[in-house]
Amino acid sequence: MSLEAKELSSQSPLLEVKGLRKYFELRTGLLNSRKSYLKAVDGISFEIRKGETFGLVGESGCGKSTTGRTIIRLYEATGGEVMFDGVDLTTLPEKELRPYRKRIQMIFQDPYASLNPRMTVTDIIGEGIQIHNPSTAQARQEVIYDLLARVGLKREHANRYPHEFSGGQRQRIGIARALAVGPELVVCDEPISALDVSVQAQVVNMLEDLQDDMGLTYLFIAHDLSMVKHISDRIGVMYLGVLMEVCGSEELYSNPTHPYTKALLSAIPIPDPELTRKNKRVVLKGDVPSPIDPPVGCRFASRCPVATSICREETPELREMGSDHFAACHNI
Amino acid sequence: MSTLLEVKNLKTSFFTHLGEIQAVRGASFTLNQGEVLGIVGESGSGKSVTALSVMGLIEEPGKIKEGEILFEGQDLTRYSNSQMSELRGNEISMIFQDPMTSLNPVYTIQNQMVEVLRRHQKIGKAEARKRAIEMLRLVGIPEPEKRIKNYPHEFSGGMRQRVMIANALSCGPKLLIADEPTTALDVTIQAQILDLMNELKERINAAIILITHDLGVIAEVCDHIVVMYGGSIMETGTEKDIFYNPQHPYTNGLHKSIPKMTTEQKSRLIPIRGTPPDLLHPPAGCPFSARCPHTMAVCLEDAPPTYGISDTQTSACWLMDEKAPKVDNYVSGGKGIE
Repeated sequence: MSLEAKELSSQSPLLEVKGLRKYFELRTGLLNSRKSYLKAVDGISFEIRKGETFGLVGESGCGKSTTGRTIIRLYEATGGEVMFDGVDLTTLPEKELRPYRKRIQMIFQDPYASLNPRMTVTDIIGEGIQIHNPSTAQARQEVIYDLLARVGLKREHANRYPHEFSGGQRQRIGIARALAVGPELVVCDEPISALDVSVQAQVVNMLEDLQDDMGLTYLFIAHDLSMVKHISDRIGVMYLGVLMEVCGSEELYSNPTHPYTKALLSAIPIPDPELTRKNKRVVLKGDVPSPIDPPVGCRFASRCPVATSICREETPELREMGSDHFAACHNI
Repeated sequence: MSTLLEVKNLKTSFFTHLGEIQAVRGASFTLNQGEVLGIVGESGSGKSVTALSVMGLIEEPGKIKEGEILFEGQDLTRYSNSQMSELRGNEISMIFQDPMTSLNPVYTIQNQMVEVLRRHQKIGKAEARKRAIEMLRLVGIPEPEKRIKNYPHEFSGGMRQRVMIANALSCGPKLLIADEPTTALDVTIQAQILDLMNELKERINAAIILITHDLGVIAEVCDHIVVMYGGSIMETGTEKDIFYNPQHPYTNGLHKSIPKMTTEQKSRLIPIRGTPPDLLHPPAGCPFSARCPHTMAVCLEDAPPTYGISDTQTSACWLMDEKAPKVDNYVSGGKGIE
């Protein structure tokens, strides 16, 4: 986080998520007569301050991507609020939402699926500009060249098609597209997990540079904890649709309080054999329960090494554990 | 310890309509009995094709062009299909990345495990079933007597991978090849499987080749490591050599581009510039030359020979030549590669 961003962060948050829920309806049984709900996101609250990077981590199926998609309204929220700059986005009619679409953009995980193979790079990046900031074709082309330079691509790439690029380069195109309309908040949904190790660092460094240059705020969603720690200022740990712990990234790694966070941290394979041998690992038993009719009480109780009877009865709320450090656990 | 597997100058190519894709371009390594060898590399580095070549599973349009694969002294590249079938699943077996697609969804676990056992060992159905249950217990499947009657979809991803491991080990193979066995799994489940592999490594007598792109996974289980890039072997060594004294610029670059969990201070990552080579038109010289911070004229023209650094470590890099300039090339320090 740059100095300027640090000053700004004392102000009100740019994005405030309050009790956000997203259920998917499932129909099973004879003639689809039985309804049940997959509770992908079940009441999560956090805020993202201007200029910071908020990391959202968790294992597959924990609802981190659904959270990102619900925030930008690719999904309609089942309940809760998404306050962006003081306005609740979840209830805005599409027409009034449009100016906000410009201010919040998204980078997707799969650089192969998220670019239209029949559009040139110019068309892909230019589409959003044309919709949100209409101008002459020539002016638009200049903007596109400028964006390409920012993401480390060349002018001559502008007229090529996605299949002519490598995975890392495609992700750069996706980033240029997101930045084309001048967003304030960028939701990065696993932007590097599809890339090779040696290319990941290139993209991460670029995202950091762009943040400094353009004053961006990131919601960085990923399952790779070491990368999330590297890029984030604050981190939220999700498990089965709820937030388990929220705090600064250094704090999370040096002083994790929630048993799930501890287990997750100790499960990361460290590329350092001596350290690996020294570390005593908390290995979690069993698997993540199904998000369809999730367990009552704490979601983590079935795998938690310190669970007591209250954990199976009452859902713990996020409580303050220290300055700017919250965790949802009965037994801390 | 005697040598179990020796791969000598293996070259495997795929002849597609676009031309020859040189997936493996002369790989040599040895594996001793009971040893765990890690092959690490990015996608397209040739690590999986190397494993499939050993298994004799290279199919049209692929072909082993050159080289020898000596398994207990016998050259597997000369084996017929039926000879290989005798060996596969019995002496050498393999676990794949995706446990969902490598188990047959329409048969029960019992069906699939008994089939393997009876195919290779002269035992009856009841005996085979008993052994299958034993194997499932060994890999930590709770209530194996009941679970053996289930279908693959009734298991979770981690449990399926355990079943795969049980199946692969059921005939007591001398060599187990695990191709990205934990890549499709979540970290907490990955930790379970890695623990299981570490435990099994003590209890079974098999040598293991673990293929992965994750240096962290390698650090967990391997004794010896082979680093591959662009179809060639860049560096080999013990775990100590590769993690604390890497000599090849590629290995070094990989280390620097991964964020360290331990560092308190936020430092910038040092990426490897550029992208991996196109194996349809591989570079004439060293495959890493286009991205290397220390490229010299010779690197672009001739592929480097493999230099022995110590008894355990080798590096295929011209920098090891006595005529090359000395560069600071260690994990800490060294100049950036941006």
